[in-house]
Amino acid sequence: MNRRTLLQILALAAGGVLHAKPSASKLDEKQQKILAELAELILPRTDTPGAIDAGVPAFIDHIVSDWYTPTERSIFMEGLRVVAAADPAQRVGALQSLEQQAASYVPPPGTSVFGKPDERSPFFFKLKLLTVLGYYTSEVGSTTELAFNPVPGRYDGNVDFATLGKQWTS
Amino acid sequence: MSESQQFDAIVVGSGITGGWAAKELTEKGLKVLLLERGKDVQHRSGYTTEHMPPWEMPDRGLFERDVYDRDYAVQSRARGFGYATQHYWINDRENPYVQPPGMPFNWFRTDVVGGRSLVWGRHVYRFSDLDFEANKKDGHGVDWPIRYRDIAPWYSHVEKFIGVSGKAEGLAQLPDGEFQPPMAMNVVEQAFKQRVETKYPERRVTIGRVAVLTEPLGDRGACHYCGPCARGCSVGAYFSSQSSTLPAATKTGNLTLRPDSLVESLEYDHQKRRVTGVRVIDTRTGARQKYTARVVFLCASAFASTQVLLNSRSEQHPEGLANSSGTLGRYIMVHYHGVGATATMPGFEGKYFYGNRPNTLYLPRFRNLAGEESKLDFTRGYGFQSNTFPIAWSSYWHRVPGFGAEFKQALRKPGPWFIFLEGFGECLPYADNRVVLERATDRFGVPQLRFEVTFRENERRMGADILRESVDMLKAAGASNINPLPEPAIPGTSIHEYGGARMGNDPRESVLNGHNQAHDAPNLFITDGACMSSSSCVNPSLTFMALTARAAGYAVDQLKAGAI
Repeated sequence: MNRRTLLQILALAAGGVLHAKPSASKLDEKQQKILAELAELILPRTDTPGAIDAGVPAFIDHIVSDWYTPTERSIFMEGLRVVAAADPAQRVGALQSLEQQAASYVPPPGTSVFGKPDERSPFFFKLKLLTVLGYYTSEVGSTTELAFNPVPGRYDGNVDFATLGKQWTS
Repeated sequence: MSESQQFDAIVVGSGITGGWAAKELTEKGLKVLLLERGKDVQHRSGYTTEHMPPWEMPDRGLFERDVYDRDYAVQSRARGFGYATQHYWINDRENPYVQPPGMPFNWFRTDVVGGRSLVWGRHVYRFSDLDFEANKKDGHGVDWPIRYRDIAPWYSHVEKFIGVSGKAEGLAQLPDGEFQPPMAMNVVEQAFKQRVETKYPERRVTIGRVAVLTEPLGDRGACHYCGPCARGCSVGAYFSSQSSTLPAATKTGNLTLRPDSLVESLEYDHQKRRVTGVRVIDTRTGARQKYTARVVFLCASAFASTQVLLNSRSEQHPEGLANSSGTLGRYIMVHYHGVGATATMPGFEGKYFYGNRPNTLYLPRFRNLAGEESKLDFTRGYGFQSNTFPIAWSSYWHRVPGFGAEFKQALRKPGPWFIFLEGFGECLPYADNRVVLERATDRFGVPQLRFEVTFRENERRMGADILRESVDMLKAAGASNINPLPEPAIPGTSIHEYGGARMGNDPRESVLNGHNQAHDAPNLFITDGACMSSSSCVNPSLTFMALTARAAGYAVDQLKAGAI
């Protein structure tokens, strides 16, 4: 089987794509705006697109509104409330202080962005996790900040990272 | 389909062994009915998540919280379970089993045509006479009625068909087979091998022998190193029933595959000492039906096949079919698994990889080898698998403090190389490690299976040795941040399942003879893990396949001779 045949088979085999159900956000407009600011502060646009370019705020909104447990959601909403109450010109400072408050938190061993999260992790940890997850699994993040190569075709376990400069998508 | 429709053979289960039974029996001219409890999954078109990028998955592939807790409470603990594979696994809520207090057991099961051949780990190793002679030598369990020479040609037969990539090492405890070129080791694995073999000249580090092609084989293409095999592989680079045995069986024109068909029990004629029917429940409608054939192969997996026999009760045999020995359901074994150590390997910063190799290192058994006088406080042995990879953004993001451009820049580089040594220990056969039928039934009225399986002193002592050796070898390899993992996984987690209808020479102490044929019913063969008299420490699927092919050949000879 040559590579062309392989790619043809793979194209034919691609199945239907499922998407999450759209649903109502539990965030009001102001909270959505703050969330977008925070996500962009965590992963800003640099030489590659940033969190907003990658649609991260909408992703976080969806997870918080539809996927989070009530415990997680209340921790998250309280964090947003604290930021909203602070001076809008001091978002970086607010985020830094939230990070300091979360500094003593020790995530469970084996913590990844995937898998079962710790419900009681602090707001800053939740926000950072969802931003990272949303960005690096988005099409924008996967194809700019990361390298996306679904059919590598061979294996080489001794490559200089410098020749690539990016990590592979997971 | 009417009851009068005659088949020469019925095969129960379409997974790794059932697919093999169907292939061998149909190729020898038998009309075969292949029964599968799960729904159909077609090769290629059934692999709906293959190569699906993360942004196309609902919630980016995060687990479906409510659904997992409600429907996959057990299955969601299986390695590789997730959005991209969950459609293959069984619904725990609809298909319960019993774990008595203090005896947790992970029964990881699929519910599809192809069974666990779609999601398996693909490592394939031959047993050796160290394994086949073990019971006789140390007195645990019953002597195997076969030796390596009996199965060796069948290993070759299977390996040539499934395609095994691996390296010949010339080790007595891990016989070489018919290999395609081995997969390459990465730079850290090469160093680990060199350092460990220098410190321990009697130990060998080799690349895993896996049923994944490195060269095309027939219609199947070589591995393209995409990574997540368990979603299904359209080019058929790894062995599954779909990619390999089912097409071969279909090609003969002798195969009838019937999905959604749960086998409840077997019907037995006490006078003729024959299985006379297979009772089937249509899982979509609940309708019951009986099929007949001259010979029946149970290949439903170790515990499911045992469950069928236990549930085939009658006045003459109230304790289950083929159980005149009283050993049915006993001597259950699962690999002692989960103990080992993790670490990072310094000195390889800046080294990375291309392609996702679906394989690990393998470190064959080095304890209690033949001809050695054991100075250890346990019998038998263990092997290691080892995963080695640079830690990805997804796992070290939370160790990088701060946020903003610097944080993003820091995440651009991979983390240090991670190494994971994971032991797989042989579990001794104990009579009271068993499965029994519970009074409680499932949604079809079939009694649930109850697991009473625990590890004992020999496994614990072996575990302590696994832990010590993991740490010592990682030290010898120059690893840092060595993190011992002393706790074994819940029994069953390895998905290496053995026993329940063991083979033996004496009908008074075993269920099957040396041809996987029931002592009590000569037209009944059980060729999945249930037949195993001991567990070795190597991954079992290759042995199950070889025993199945061998038993199928024998059954056809016996049919032709009019003996069954």
